[in-house]
Amino acid sequence: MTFLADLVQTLINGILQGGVYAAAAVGLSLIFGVSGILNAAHGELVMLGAFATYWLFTLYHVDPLLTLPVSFALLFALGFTLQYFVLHRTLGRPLLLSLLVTFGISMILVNAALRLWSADYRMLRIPYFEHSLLVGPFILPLSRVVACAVGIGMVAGLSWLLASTRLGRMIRATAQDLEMARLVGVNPRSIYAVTFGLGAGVSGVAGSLVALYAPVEPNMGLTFTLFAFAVVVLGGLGYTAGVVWGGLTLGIAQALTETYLEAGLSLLVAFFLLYLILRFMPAGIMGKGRLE
Amino acid sequence: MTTIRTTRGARWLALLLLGAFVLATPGGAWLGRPADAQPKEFKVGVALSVSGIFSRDAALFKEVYDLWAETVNKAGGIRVKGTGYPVRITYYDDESSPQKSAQLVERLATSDKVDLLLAGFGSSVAFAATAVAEKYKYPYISGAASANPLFERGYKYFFATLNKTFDEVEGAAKVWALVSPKPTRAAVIGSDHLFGKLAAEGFKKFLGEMGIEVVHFEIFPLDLADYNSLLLKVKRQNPDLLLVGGLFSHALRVMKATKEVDFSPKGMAFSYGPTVPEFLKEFGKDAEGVIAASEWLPSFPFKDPVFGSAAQFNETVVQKYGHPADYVQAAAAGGLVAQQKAIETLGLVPPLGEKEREALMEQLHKQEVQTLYGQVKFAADGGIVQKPPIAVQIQNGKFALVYPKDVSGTQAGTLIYPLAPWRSR
Repeated sequence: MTFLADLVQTLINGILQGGVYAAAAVGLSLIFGVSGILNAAHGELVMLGAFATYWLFTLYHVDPLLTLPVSFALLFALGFTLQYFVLHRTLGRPLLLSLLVTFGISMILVNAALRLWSADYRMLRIPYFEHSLLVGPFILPLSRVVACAVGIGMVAGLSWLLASTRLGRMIRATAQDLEMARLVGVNPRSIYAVTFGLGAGVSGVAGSLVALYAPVEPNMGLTFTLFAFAVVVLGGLGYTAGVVWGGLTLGIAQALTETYLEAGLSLLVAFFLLYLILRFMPAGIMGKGRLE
Repeated sequence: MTTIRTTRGARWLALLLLGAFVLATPGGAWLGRPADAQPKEFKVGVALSVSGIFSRDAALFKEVYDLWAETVNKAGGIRVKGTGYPVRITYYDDESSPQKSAQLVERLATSDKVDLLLAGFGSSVAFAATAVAEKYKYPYISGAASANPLFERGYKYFFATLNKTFDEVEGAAKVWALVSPKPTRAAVIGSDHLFGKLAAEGFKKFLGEMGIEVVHFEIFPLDLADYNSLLLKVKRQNPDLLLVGGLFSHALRVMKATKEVDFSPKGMAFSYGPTVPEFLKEFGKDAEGVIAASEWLPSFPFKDPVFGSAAQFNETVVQKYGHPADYVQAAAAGGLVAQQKAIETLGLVPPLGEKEREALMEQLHKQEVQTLYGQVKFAADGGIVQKPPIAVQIQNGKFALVYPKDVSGTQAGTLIYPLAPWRSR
C-alpha cells in the first residue's frame, strides 16, 4: 500500500469511528444545551440501548436494525421518567447537584445491569454484518459503515426536529428563555422531561449501533461518558449539530495516532485536543457553542 | 404526676434495655441456648472484580470459590481432628481496581477479621492486594496472577498456582517451531496492563530465541476504541503469525477486528482469552485453529479428595455453570485444595490468629499436594514448581493439546496450520 492509500484508509477508520462518537454524544449535548444538566449517567444509557438490541436479537431474533426504534422507545421512557420525577428537582440548582444525582443514577444502572445480566462480555453475531465492503484497496467493515451512517443520520434528524418542528421550537424556547416560554404556554417540566427522553432515546440508539460491532457489557458506559464529554466540548457545548464535527475530529485524530504513532497515545491525543479546544476555541470547532 | 411519669419512663427504659439485650446477645443466648451451640466456621474473605475490566474473567473464580464452599460444606466442612468446620465466604467487589482491592483486603483482615483470604483475579490486582495480605500475614494463593515482578518482592505469604507469565506463554510461542514451513515473521501486540505487557514481552523473547523476526510490537491501551486501525497497521507488515498478550475482552476485540479488516495470519495465539467459555460461544467455527496459552486440560490424569478428578471437576462445572472448566478455574481449585490440606495437616481450628496463619504459610511452603490441577509445590518465591507450560488449539470446537508432545500421558494432537483465510471459514 502506498502512503496515500494508507492515509485514506486511516481517515476512513477515523470517520467510521467518529460517526459513532457523534451519535453517542448527541444526547448529552441536547440535554446539557436545554436543561443545563451534565448527565454523568450518559454512558449507562448507551449501555442499556446496547443491551436492548442484544437481548432482542438473541432472545427473539429481531434484526438488529429493527431494534433501533425499540431501543429509542425504551430509553425515551426511562429518560422521561428520570427527568420528570428525579432530575426535575435539580433544575436551577448548582451544576454539581445534577452531576451528583446522575452519578448516583449511573451507579444504580450499572449495578442493576450487573445483577440482571452479569459481567459477561456479549457480542452479536450477525452474519450479514460480518463482511467488509471492498472499495479498491480500501476496507469498510459493513457493521461500522451502517453504525456511522445511521448515527450521523440520527444527529441530522434530531437537528431537523429541533429546527423545524413545533416540539423543537418549544424545546429551543425553553432553553433560551424559561420565563418567556412559560408566558407563551410551554410547560417547562414536560419539555425538560421530553428533552431528556429524546436525549436518552438517541443515546440508546447509539448503544444499539455500538452493539453491531463491539462487545456489550454492563461496564461499557464509562468510556462513552468520557468520549461524549470530549466530543461535546470539541463540537461546542450546547450546540447539538456540533457533535458531528467533534466526533469526526476525535475519531480521525485517534485513527491517525493509532496508525502513525502508537495506539497507546490515542487517549493522550484525545485529551490534548480537548485542552487545545478549551484553550483556544472555547466555543468549539465551529465556534457555535455556549461560552458561559 | 411526677411519680407516675417517672414510673412510666422507667418501664419504657426497662423495656428498651431488655430489647437491646435481646438484640445484642449473639445466637439468642437469652433463650437458654448456650452460645457455643453455634458451630464454629472458617470465615473466608475475598475481594473480587465483580465489575470492571476483569469482571468476566473474575466471574470464573467466583464459580470455583462457590463450588468449593458448597462441596466442602456438603461434606460437613473442613475436617480437623474429626470435627467438621464449615466455610463461609464474604465477597467484596474491587471493581477491577488494584487500589480498591488492597483497601478491601485490609477491611477483611482488620474489620471482618476473616480466618482465610482467597485471591482476586489478575496480576495487577494481586500486586496491590498481596502487599496488604503480607502485612497482616494472610496466605494469598492466586490461580490467575503470574506477572514475574510479583515473585521478585521477597514476599512469604504470596503463592501462585500458574506459571510465571514468561513461562506461561512459552508453549504458545514455541509451538510454532513445530509447523512447516517454519514461520519467519510475527507481530506481537499486548494490552497495557501488567499481565498483557509481560505476556507480549514473553512472546517476543521466545520468538526471538526461535529465530522468528518480530516485525511489529505494540502495547495498546485497555480501553482502545478502534481496534481496526491497530490491526490494519499490523496487517500491512504482512506477518505470518499474530500473538496477543491480554485478557478475554482484548481477545474478543482482536478476533473481531482481524475479521473486519480481513487480516488472516497463518497462525494466531493468545496469552489468555480463548479458553474462557464465551470465546467459543461467540466465535464458533471462526475460532477454529486459534491457539491459547494454558496450563491444564480436563483430560489430565490428576485428582484430589475435594473435587475428585480433573474430568469430574470439569463435569461438575459443566453441570453447575453450563460451560467447561477453564484452566484458571482449575488453578484456583488447586490453590484451594492446597490451603485446605495445609489446615487439615496442621489441625487448625477457627478462629485463626496471626500465629496460626504464619504456621499455615510455612506449611504451604513445605508441603507437596496432589490436586486436580496437578502437583502443587511452591518454591521459596511463592511460584509453582515444575509445571510444564502448554499450548492448546481450538479443534472442532474443543481444546486440543498441541504443545508439548506429551503431558502426563496426554498426547499432543496435530496442529492446524496455516489457518484458513477469513473468507473461506
